[in-house]
Amino acid sequence: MLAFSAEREVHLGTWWPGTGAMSLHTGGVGGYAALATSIVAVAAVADQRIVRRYTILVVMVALAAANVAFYAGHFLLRYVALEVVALSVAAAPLIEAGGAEGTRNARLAYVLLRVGDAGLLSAILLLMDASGTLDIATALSAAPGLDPAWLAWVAAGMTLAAWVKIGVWPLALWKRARRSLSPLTGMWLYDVVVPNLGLYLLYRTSSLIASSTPLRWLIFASAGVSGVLGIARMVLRRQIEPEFGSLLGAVALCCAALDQGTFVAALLLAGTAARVVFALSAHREIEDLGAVRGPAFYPRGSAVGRWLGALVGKPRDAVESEAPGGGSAGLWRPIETAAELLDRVVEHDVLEQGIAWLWRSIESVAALIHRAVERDLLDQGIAWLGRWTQSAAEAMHRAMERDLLDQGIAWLGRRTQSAAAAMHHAIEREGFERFIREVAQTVNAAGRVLQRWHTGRLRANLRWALAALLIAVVAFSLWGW
Amino acid sequence: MWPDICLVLVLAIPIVVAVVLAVFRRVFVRAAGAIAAGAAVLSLCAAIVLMPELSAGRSPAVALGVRPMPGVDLSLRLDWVSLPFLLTEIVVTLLAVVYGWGYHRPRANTPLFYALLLVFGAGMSGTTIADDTVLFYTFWELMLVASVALILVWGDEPPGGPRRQAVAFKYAIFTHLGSLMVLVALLILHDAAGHDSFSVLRQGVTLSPGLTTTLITLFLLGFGVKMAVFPLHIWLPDAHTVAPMPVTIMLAAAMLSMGIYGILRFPMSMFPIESLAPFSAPMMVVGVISEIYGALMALAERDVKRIIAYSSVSQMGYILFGLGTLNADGIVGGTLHVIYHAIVKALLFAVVGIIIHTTRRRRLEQLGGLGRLLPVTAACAAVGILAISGVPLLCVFVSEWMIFAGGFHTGRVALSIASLFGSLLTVAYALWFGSQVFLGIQREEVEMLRAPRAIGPDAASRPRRHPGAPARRDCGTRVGP
Repeated sequence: MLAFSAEREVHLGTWWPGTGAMSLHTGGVGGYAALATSIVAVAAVADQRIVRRYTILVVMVALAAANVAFYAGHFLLRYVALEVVALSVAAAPLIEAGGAEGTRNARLAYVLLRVGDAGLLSAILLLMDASGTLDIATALSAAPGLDPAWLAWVAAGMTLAAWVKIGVWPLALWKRARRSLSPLTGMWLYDVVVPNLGLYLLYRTSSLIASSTPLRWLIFASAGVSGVLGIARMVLRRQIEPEFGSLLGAVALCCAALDQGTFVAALLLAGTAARVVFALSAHREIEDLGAVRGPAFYPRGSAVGRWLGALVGKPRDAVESEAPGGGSAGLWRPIETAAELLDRVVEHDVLEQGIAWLWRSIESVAALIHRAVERDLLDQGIAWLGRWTQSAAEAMHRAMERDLLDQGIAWLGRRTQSAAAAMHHAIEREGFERFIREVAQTVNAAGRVLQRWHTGRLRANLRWALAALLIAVVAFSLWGW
Repeated sequence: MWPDICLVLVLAIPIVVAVVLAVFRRVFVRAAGAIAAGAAVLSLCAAIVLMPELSAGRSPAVALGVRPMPGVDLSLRLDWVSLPFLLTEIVVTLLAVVYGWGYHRPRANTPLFYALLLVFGAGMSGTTIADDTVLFYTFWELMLVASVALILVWGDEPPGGPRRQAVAFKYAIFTHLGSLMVLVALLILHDAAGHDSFSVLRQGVTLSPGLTTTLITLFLLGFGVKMAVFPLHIWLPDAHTVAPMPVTIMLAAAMLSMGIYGILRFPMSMFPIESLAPFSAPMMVVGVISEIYGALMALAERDVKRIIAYSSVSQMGYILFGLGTLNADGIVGGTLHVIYHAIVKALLFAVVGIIIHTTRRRRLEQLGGLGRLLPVTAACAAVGILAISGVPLLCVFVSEWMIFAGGFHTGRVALSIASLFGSLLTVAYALWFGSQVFLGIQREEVEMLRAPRAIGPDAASRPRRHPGAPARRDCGTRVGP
């Protein structure tokens, strides 16, 4: 009913300051997309081959989140809803299959979907920075005014998000997790909900995507490879259904690159219906082959059943004819061989091996950096620094404490001692004492001379003195008078 | 008056109880854990009582009346910058103490263990509410001393891993080097302002541009060591690995945030934002490198405790990136990320502790399928893993969104996109860790021993010593064959 209602905005309140009020918009293409997706959900819930009841809970959560994403008028709300869908998609194989394969599939699905969401988030934040709002309509209308480089980032982010969700080569690996799910649940989660969300994103952002010429050519190239690969697989398996989504996505991407948003919307709605029909009929064929049992969507042996079987699946008699000894012949054989080769090269050799190589490379690089930086450079570096510091300290100890100080002090002591001895010898014995001795000897000698003088010539001198006095007395007597 | 008393009680209660536990350790062997938890609860209550004061626009402040030297006036103050950190630290201390009940078997020196935990917590709280440089640095060193003692005495020694003495030494030396840089910067600030009060410093200090740049560099490097961002993280993996689990929880969830608090308190509060502009791009670059490097190392590691330890290096990168944006979104996001990271990291380390304690295994290749054996622990781990992956509706999503938005506001689109896409590595290692430990095939050799009583109700309950494990004087935490 919401799909057919008039366009209306419902405010849900603000999560945290600065993000603005979150809102839902009814009506428009989002409403139709939500309606189509919800109708198909009935088939998923009614799937009798669901192993665990929790899967139905996951389907319901995914449905609710997808509807919120379709109706969201606010980027934050839409992003959150998309993440919840991604978690549900990853949780389904974990719950349904479990084990190593289920775990690996769940991990792969979530990480790859998160790659797309990282692109979306970067585009959202750039738009928010430019427009100052997270309101989808306002932010997208402000996009053309962006700096060309920023606009290219926004377009690339949006395209990456849509590309992953639609599941176009080479970003479709996450869809492999579908193998571990029951057929209809897998079909709904992996071929309807997430691709529809991607197509809706393409519809909303086709004008942005078309504005970037390099991106456009990248899309055409990838769509070309995806198309050739899809056709090759159809030839190989003689089934349309498994490759239909990929081909539809490639066409939708090309439409978006040509700014044909209306076609994208049409592909979303028509493609949903077609995918359901193909999926159900293909599973009907599987049922006929006795592989697995599925719901009786159309009467066995009816005209519709035969027509759909002929259209989308390998006819039963054809399959049976391939039993031992059977097979293709004539012109068909080389085509099949070429398709098989292409499938092996592109899908297995390039993509699978490429992803495996990428993961191994990340692990190896991480291990290498860990070994080189953490162990060799830091741990061993620090150990080396510690050893070096210890050696330097020992050398310094040897040099300073033992060689320089201990031996220096000993040498200084010895030198001081010898200097003191020399000084003692020089001053005390040779210098001062000798000087004193010589002074004493000199004084002694002088004394003796004086004594000699005193005892020898004194008497004669006294006579001279008496004679002089006598002369003086005579002279004064004569002069005075 | 009442708020002032509460502010003092926040610190006084744990310190007094720690002294009592240390002095009367023979009396409180069994009750030590409960007494320590009681002290932490009272301290938390005192902090909560202060919140209305802050809401009313008042900042509780107490001058302790102690003037150890001229220009030094010891005082405490709580404001909006310190409140989130204070609450985080007290709550994490309480969690660590409660975790210790089950993790740490009562022994003669158990009261000392809890006393040191309280001192460690008080050191962090004191650093957060100190309003002068002397008190700030005193508490800053107190937390280092307490944590080193805890590692030195009660540290684990994983088989083939480093010795706890060596790790404690390395941790002490490296973080002390950072502390010395902070000390030099504080002394220069004190010298320039003539006073050590933060209130005086906040009013503005006149410094030459060259000196301002030097100070900011010293602060960033010093606090960067505590934050453990690349390449200053080298102490972290070993310290987190060897520390007993309650201490690891405190180190990872609370102590790392002290570096962020330091950056917010000093360079970002005391200098005009223009002075920090030249540091913006380097901080963002180091943040992105740290984020990606830590995630890569977590991918390369096989020891579960070290995986979470490297995750801290990565998460600190997000925070540094946010702070480096120098805009409201980035800084608020970074601060919120501190709190959310503390919650999530405490949860993840608690989970890892239960795993190691229960299985006596710590390498990924020895673990697997534990989800069936430890469903509650697995559920807790799932919440932690999804939260740290930034899944919407869980706390980390909000802070990551704000950090990335802040990055895009700076106009450095390439850096911001690198940071955003680098977060995919976080998703990769978190999912890898969770799926390897809890999903997949359960190893037959995993031996269920003993689950911590406090938080591991779903694990086996009988205590039993591993045949090959040597008896230790006081260690309820030793692991390995």
